[in-house]
Amino acid sequence: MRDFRILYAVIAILLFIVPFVGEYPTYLTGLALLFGISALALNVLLGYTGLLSFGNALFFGTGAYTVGLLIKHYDITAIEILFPASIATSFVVAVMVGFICVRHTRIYFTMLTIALASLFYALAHKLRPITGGDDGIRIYDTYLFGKEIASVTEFYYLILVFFFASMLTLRIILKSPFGLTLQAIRDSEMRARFAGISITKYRLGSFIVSGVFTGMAGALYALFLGQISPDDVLGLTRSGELVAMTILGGFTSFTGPVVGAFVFTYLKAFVSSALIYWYMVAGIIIIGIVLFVPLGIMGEIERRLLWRR
Amino acid sequence: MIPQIINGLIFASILFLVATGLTIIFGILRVVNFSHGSFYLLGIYIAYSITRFSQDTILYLASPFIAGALAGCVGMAFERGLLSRVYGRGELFELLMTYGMIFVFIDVFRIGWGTMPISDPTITFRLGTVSIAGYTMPLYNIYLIAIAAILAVVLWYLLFRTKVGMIIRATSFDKEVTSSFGVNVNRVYALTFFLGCFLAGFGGGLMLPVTGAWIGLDIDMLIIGLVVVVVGGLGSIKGALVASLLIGLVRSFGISMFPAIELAIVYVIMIAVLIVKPSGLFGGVEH
Repeated sequence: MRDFRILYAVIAILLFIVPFVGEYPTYLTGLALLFGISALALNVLLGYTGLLSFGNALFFGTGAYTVGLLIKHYDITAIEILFPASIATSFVVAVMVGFICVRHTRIYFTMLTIALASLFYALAHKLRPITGGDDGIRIYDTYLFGKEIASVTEFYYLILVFFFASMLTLRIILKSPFGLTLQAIRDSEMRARFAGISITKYRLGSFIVSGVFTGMAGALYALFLGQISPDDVLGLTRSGELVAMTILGGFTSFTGPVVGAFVFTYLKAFVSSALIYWYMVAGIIIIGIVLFVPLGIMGEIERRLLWRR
Repeated sequence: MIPQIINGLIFASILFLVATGLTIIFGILRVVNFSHGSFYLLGIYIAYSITRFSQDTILYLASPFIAGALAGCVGMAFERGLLSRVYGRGELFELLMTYGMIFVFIDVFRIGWGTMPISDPTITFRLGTVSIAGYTMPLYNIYLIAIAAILAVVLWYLLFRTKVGMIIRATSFDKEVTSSFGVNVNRVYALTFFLGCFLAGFGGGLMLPVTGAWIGLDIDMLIIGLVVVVVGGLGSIKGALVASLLIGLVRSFGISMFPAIELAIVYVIMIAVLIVKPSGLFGGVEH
């Protein structure tokens, strides 16, 4: 346990000094941190509740579009307002969508999340006067408590604070009686039902937790990139990328999704700069993980460590 | 009215082919094939390449069949070579593998056929036009609807009136019992995947003169196919037929009346169906 604490401390320090290395690594690491939280939130559903969502871009996009639309139509540029607003909208969307989805499990749940995310994608795409259609929305001039936040480094530290806060909160949620109940339901729905647990209520709770954290990451993504479009934040490939990151890192491990997000984001940046066939590489990686390392990077490491003892 | 109905029927025909493939594969293998839209797109690209060889009318009309057969073979190879290795490990891995194939296909398309959209409406000009109730429309549109209807009947005959169909249905009902009767279930899986991908590729081949192909159509088709399957009831062919007619016609009228939100209407129908009947119109399968 102690060596893990040291490891975490070293990683935290490394993350803190990234902006001193250069702007591009800072940008990439910022992205990886945001996707890390989104993948972690996805894993609340996948790893801890046993529900595979292939539509979590819906929440990512809800957060991002809340920021975009408030700036575009109401000139609200204060991050201290934009951020809570995206939490509120992703909460509302998660409740509504969750109400429809959590009555189903397994593949039915997965297909419903895809379809509902596609509904929001279609709306963002077609309601051009409101959302700007596929041109998306540009986001600029944002302020935090009256101070303009513009540089990559400033946003990076904002994201880093959010990252640590989310890791901690999600860790607490998943260790709480609520989180343990989710895992009990995942392992045996029947047994949980006999214990008098309202399965649907807990699944909805898990869905909301997943949605709100993904929404927050989406909001920060919009601020960080300064440009959002339906394909980027609401498309099926965004949802799929989050699933791929989670599996790559390992859905049986708490930190797995974050590791997966880092590996995926860096790999994507390096491969796409070297050759034009990133899609092919991504597909082969996904298939390879499924075939040879189904537990993912962290799952495999944890398994080997357990074997050694 | 007439043009909207014809357009709706064209769309419904294609949706039926794609959704039936999805639903048959799910019924037998319990896998939702996320790369189904890619097989559809593969069908269009293959038909395009075939019609580059020769401008013969017969070849044009035969190209969907060849495209379907080739797409079916690719599908079968994928099932035997990759997908069958993860059976029994849970649907998460099966889904992810078919999802990964989407990306492999995208770059295969880009390498093989370039990044620009393709189309070839030659055959629609060649076949001329036909007048129905005062509206002139390409004869090819009527041909497309007719051939899809014939294929639906053939499919029904194959599944419900032949021995192969009986084995397929028995496998979908109970895999263990069927294999204890001496049926090689793995061959049924391969055959089913061939059939499902054939239907997708065939549908794609038929649409070459109508819409052509572009990268991104694969995911659009997958999503709308999933919607049809969800509305009709997962695993139900009758459901796929009714739901594709419903969604095809709604979408066609939606495009002419509310172009901004036509797709949204389709999703709203889906949500409405699911709230009233969570298993879809004809789905009685266990959840």
